[in-house]
Amino acid sequence: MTPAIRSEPWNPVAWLGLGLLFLRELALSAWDVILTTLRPRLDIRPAILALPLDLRSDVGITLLADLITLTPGTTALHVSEDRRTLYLHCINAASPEAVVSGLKTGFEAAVRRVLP
Amino acid sequence: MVEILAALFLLAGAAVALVAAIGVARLPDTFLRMHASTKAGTVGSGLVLIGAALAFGEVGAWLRAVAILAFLLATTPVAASALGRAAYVGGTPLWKGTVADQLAGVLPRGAFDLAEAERRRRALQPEAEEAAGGTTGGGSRDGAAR
Repeated sequence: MTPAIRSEPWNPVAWLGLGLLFLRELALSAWDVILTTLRPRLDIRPAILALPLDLRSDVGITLLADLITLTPGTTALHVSEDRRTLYLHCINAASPEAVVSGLKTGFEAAVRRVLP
Repeated sequence: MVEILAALFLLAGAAVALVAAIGVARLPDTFLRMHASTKAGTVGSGLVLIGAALAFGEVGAWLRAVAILAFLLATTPVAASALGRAAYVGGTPLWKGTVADQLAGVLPRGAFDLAEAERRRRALQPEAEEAAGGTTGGGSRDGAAR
């Protein structure tokens, strides 16, 4: 359903891209969670969402789950037995589809460039 | 110049840790509180470590800061994920404003009854009953946070 991405574990540029994407997401979402915490009115729509996985290797899924959990505002909770779905808790999922597609095109695509 | 930069990093890290503490106190359920605490673990400690390395300025200090950061980044998400999953399986209630639970039916979920827990606590400590004044601690919190 998503285009095939060749994973190149020995490509330093791909790893650097993943690192920069992580730092950017970390800064953006940390700022978001800080504002959410300090706002007098608690205006959030938390949800537990299912993220369908295109990653196939255990190490790739582990890296994706780690990155998702490290980013404030999302926590990976569970990976299904067949390794096809990752469940995560999201602090603000006003539009669950947008959160899932954002993660797929952002973190998952970047991880798929380095690990299968 | 470097001192000012180091101080800014240290202050920013401390501020993030403070906001995270406020979040842990204020947010209404376990999973939301964990979002606040992960932020302290990654962003807060990252800023403080960079500030400390800048203040010392030696190669050894930078190496240590980078090593500590690497270990934190490798271990905290595993702990957070395990805690969150355990909280879900244990039956920790989700905040009433939660819009979707796509994990329902996938994982077994225990029952976590606040009223029952309160009753058991009072049965163990009869003298605490007068001090509490008959107020229910757990149920009213959710309403107040909204």
